[in-house]
Amino acid sequence: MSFSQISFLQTLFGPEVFAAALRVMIPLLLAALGGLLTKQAGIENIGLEGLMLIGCFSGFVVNYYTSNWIAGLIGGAVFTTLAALLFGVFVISLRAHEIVAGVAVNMLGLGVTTYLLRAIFGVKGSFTDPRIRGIPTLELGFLENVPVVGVIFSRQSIMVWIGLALVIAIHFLLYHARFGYYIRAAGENPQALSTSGISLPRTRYITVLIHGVLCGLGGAYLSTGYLTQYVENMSAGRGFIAMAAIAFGGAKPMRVFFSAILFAFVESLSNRLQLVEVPSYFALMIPYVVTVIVLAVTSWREKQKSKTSTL
Amino acid sequence: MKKFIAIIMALSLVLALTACGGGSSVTPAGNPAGDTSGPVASPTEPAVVSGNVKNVAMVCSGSLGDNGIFDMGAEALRQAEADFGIEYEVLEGKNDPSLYYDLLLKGAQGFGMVIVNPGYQFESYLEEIADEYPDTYFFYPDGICPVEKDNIYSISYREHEGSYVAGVMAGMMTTRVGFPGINDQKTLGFVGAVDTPTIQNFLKAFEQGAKSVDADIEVKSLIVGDHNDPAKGKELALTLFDQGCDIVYQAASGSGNGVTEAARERGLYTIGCDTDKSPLAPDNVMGSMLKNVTKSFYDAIGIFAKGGTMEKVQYEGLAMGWTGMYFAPDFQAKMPEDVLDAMTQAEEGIMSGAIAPIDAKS
Repeated sequence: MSFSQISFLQTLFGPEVFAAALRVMIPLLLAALGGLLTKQAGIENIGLEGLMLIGCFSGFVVNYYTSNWIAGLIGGAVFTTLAALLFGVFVISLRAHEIVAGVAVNMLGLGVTTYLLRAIFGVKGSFTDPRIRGIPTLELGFLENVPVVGVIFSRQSIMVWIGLALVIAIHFLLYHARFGYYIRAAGENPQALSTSGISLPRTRYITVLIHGVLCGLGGAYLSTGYLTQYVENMSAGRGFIAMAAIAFGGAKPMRVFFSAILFAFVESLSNRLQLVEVPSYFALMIPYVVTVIVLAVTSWREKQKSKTSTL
Repeated sequence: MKKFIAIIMALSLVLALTACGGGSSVTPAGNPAGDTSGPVASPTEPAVVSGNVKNVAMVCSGSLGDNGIFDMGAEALRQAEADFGIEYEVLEGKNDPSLYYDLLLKGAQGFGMVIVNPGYQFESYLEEIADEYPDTYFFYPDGICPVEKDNIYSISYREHEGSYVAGVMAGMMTTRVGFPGINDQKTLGFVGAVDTPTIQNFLKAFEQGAKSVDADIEVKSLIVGDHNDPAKGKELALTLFDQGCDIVYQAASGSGNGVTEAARERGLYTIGCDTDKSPLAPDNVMGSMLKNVTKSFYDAIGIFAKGGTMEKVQYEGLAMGWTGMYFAPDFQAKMPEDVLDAMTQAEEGIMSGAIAPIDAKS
């Protein structure tokens, strides 16, 4: 193998690519974890994008006024949960169509944040301030000199670790905790849940609230961890990619985690493709092409599955 | 019977439509009012009797408060009001293309000079309106208007001149030994918004300037594909820093703010573009390659307010101060003397014609 080929592969598949994929994955992953919970409980929420954006903005505002990143994260989670509660009221209590309510959440998210950005800070477009305290990175000194692993894990944001822990926590919740059984029953067989004396609305409400917290954390990470600025509509479609990850992962936490990391990896890879003389328009297209292919495969697989189950 | 009435109704509708369409000039789909009276009726009072321009309208696609081209344009109008005694109005399009036609019409009817900002958003409307108002001067920044009319003037910036100087600076800094953060690799980075001739104009001349210092310097470039995704901008800048770049030049609009953050996080350097980016990261923004919209609008208004005229395509850079490097005072104090000298020499060379930066736009 010639020298140029080696450096080509290092550019594309060096450990930095995986470090980048982890960073890029977190907002996707958190929103996807939230969305998979409601999907398990029988509510398809396409409003992840709007909830994330509310998380971005409220996390940013609270961080700005308190100059404290923990307060910012909590603030993002609280306000996003309130917005999710509103979604829940419409879908669960008022029985609105979940897709319509989801679209409304997306529109509300964009509208309210754009308006408040102007009302609170008097600016349009973007805002940043030295008062913002970014979510710190966790320096793992003992990993620093380990090859490959050191580059990937030694200097990641605390949120990366929280995100990975949440994958395990949600997996445990769904498959090893009593409330997780309720959530899945609410999705698979709501009548059975009701007849066994468990309140269906209560189960769904709690699920929607947890999903609000997760989306809020994902959003707040974007505006106060990944970046320390707020930009209008900064979720930039990540909520929809999260939905694709949920679909590809069949709403199962571990699989959703792997699809989120797949999407994030493809994105970081496409960034690096430009460095090896791939035209930018082609490189930038790749993540979307992969998303389309993945979704096509998913729906084909589901079709096959439903064919075999009817036989 | 019902069917018959329906047919009559349909026929009358069709007739009414053709009757309307026949006599009037074409109305664009984006014009909700369907106003056809304006251009056809003979204007009772021509806005200007040719000669000196007395009032100026700036028609924006977006709204003021953007800290960018709209605010810079408004600043030019304010200065022109004070210095040339013109009156002005800013017509804000609020990012709603359905308003653009009417705003441009309003500007054309009431003002001697109309600046559409940015030009490319108004091309199709200019094509229709410019002929109807021959006494109004229309200004098209930034680029060369594809619609050729006697009263449309294009304002274009020589980004390559300022970018060449930025390249000289970056080239001298990256080959330097002992400056904090600068590594021993001769690698520079570039992040562009979208792959267009204008962005190439920034890149090519930057590369040329850097290579004039040391032919071994390599410039790695990445394109965001979006004007307003700072998260991706940051990711690309981090990618470049991982590749051994110590200075990244960005021409990426809103996405560029992410590049500035990446430099701050890594303690490395970036060169901003369009406006002064140093407030975001005073220790990491070496300087900014300004595209001085204010100066260019001010110059154009000044020429016409005094009754003069300018070239159909006014293509300016360093000589008129339309583009050029700017330092925040704090960072300028840190810059080595010989780098500043080399930049001044490059500027003089470009203005005298001794140095010809690559022009990717023409």
